[in-house]
Amino acid sequence: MENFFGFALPGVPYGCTYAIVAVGLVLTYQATGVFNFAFGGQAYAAAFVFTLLTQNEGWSGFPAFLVSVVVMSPLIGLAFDRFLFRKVGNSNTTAKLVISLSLLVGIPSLLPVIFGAQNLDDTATIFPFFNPNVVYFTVLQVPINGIYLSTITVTVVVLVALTALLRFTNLGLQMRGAVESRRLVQLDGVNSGRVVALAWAISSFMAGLAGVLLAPTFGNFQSDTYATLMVAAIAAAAWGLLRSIPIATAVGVLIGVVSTILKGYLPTSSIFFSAVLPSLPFFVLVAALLFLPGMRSLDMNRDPLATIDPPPPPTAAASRAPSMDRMIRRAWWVFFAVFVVSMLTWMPKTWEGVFNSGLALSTVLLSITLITGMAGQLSLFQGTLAGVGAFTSAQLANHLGLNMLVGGLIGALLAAAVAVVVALLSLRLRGLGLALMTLAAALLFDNTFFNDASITGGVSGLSLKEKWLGTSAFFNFNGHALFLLSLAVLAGCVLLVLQVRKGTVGRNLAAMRGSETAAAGLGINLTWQRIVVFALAGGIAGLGGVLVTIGAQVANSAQWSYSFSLIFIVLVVTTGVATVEGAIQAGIGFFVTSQLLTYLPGRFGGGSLVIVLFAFGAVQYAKHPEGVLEFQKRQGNMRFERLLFPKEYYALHPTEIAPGTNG
Amino acid sequence: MTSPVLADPAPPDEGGDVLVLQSVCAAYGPYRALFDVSFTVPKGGIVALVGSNGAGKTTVARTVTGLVTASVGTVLFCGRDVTRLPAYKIARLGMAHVVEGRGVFSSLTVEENLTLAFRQRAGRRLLAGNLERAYTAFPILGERRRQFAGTLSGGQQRLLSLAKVLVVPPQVLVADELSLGLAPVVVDAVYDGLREINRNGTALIVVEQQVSRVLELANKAVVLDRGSVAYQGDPAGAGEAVESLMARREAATASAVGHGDDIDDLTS
Repeated sequence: MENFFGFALPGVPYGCTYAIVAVGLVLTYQATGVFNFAFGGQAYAAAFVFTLLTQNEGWSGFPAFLVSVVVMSPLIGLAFDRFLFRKVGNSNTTAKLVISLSLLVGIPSLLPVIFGAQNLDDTATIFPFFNPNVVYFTVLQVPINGIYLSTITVTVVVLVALTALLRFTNLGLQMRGAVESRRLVQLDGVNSGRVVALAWAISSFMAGLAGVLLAPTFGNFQSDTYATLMVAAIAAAAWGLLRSIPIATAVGVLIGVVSTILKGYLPTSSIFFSAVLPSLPFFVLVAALLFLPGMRSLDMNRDPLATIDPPPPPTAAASRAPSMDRMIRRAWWVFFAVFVVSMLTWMPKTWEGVFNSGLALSTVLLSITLITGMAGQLSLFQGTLAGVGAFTSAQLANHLGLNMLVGGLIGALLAAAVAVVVALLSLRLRGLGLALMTLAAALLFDNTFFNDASITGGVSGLSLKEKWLGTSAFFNFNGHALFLLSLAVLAGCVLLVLQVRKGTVGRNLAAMRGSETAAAGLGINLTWQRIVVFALAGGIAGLGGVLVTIGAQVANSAQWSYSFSLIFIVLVVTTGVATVEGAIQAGIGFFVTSQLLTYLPGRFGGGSLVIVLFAFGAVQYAKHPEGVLEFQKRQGNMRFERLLFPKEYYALHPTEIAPGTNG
Repeated sequence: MTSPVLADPAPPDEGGDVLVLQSVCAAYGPYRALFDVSFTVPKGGIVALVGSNGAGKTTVARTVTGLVTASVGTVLFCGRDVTRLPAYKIARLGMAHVVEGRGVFSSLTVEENLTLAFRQRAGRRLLAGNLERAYTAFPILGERRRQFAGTLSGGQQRLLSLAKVLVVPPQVLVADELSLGLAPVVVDAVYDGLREINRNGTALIVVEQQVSRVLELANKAVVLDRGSVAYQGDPAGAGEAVESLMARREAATASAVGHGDDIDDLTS
């Protein structure tokens, strides 16, 4: 029994930190209506600054805590509210999710850009409250040191304070009202803007607190560690239905304790230890999504005054005048011809590689256009599906000697099958629920299949061999074979997506996006539509993964980790998720921008700045849900139309005629 | 009874208008809904706002209470320009709005819904008394005080949103489609309630599709058509105005079947 407690107690600090983050998620969701994925990023930022101040600047713990947690963190939250979330309609679940995801992706990448690369050792972190190296007392022969004391005390204080805030204070009541409808609380005389801003400040403070508490308990200082923390916390919050603080706390602590107990009892060599144990939080999350009916109706639009928001504008391509449309189409064909000829003749090898990678990535991103742009659902595991395609084809070539181009098709089919399985598991989930389910799937793959050296070749990955492709053409950039292959696959996928959009499935999807209830009322089989879309998108992602792998000449699991799935979403959303050209511009733009950034001085040249750039592009989603490029395109179109084809322009925009004329 | 509204209840100039709309235009994004709407609400008066679907009734109501900001024109409340004020500030000046359809917080309990409203409108000290009065006036709400408002029936939700404004009477009450979805008996009770707070000095703007019923109650009528005022004045003449509008609309539809008017259908 002493052994049992010896295993269980060390889990408590972990569990408490999970609980604090879980409660922070619940609070943000209850008080602002945003499921804040960026919470992990905020925690990381606070821990980063805290460690930076204490180690490199020689500050003592308490002032560093004041600066990083008490001052900086709430300010970050206020900035989020002021510049981002305030502009998003309460009912726009996708926009809120995408913005918080892009913050999660952007913040950890931004820090090295701001502060330069820092060598931080968090094991030496000075703890703000109790000294971590002092054993204060022992319980059941387990020494209780400052880490235990700090996390447990802070957790208890925070929980009591927040429960009291939400349940018993007027402010808490106003927060809960404001989540449902910011307009309706205004009619009761509540300054909803101020209430929501306060909620953001409080929850960001908690993020900072969790980050600093956590810094010494984890081995090394990586933003990925914070992502693991997030999954455990999300799982705990989900069991509390994003509503109950006590349940979220209890589940959070349990996850921490159970994993350390299992760690103690399971034999270290078994598959359970290496694969299942790290995945424990995902299983807890998936179980919540599968078995809690409350998770299915999470973000039903409850705002009775949502009709005040104007409907979204049509896409640039759909709303331009016919003459303008013809002109732009011709211009694109000319541009395309010039591009293909250039690629085949004078393009330098570096840039040919850049564009090839761009075309391959575009194919992966096209799958997001299909799922998010057309079906209106957020899928966070498209990168994983691409990885399934990539590893399948590579392994088939490795073991069976199958040509990767043929194996690629099998890989795509397998990716489609995986997508269908996930779709079947999440049939009744929408919006946030589906996003979480796909995120859990991505993380599960990262921890199991992608973590298995016999599948993915370990850290260095599987290097492609010439014979896997049956020809040396793809290894020789002068042959242009890879370019033509990527172009052909992309073109095929584009045609497929366009065909789907034009056809019955596309119209059914548009109906579902508008109103699932109404679509079901028309006799549309929602389940079937969804499975079809997931399968198609999975297959396209798988093909894209194979292309990327052939271009990179290596299949590496780091390339397909969940964080890349998130980055992919952010990329597409930045340019415009509703159109096919949005995906292509995102894919090519990503590599072109990365290449251009390599010409900049060192600090900006790394891979992180390009992610930051796109993340901040995606943040623009708040203002322009159709995508920044898409928005610019429409503005440009309108300007040119007014100049070139004024007659058609004013026929299309009757509202621009001088005011006062009555319809 | 003294006005329990937090804001200074300084009366407007004697016998003047508590609410004035001057050439108000409003739009939802690029879609214009109101064109040059002007009318006044006399102090203690009852104005009926009638018109067909998409005429702009709800938009007028929203513009008055600040949910939609007028793009052109001014709204004066007790002589004060409130055109650009956010909705919560207008509410604090003594405006109440019972919105069309469901107007309660479904994830809060009945009591929390009332508490939220009463604490803002009447302060913490009067809270217990006001809750008591609400439960006396609407016993069904008292029975269900611990229930989530989202689990109430549609009619009960309407009663809840009415209770929020009837118990603490505002200076001006904007009631949007009150009778919608209510049983006839309940509608009678609701109209009695409106008459009663009007006797206590609250001016009313009543948006209604049941034209005859509201014209009985009102002492002034405004008829809207396609976002403009088609008639205003004595309620007795309003019924006729509405009918002639309908006749004209029918004739127009008959002459151009299938030619929809896009501005009309966007705002309902």
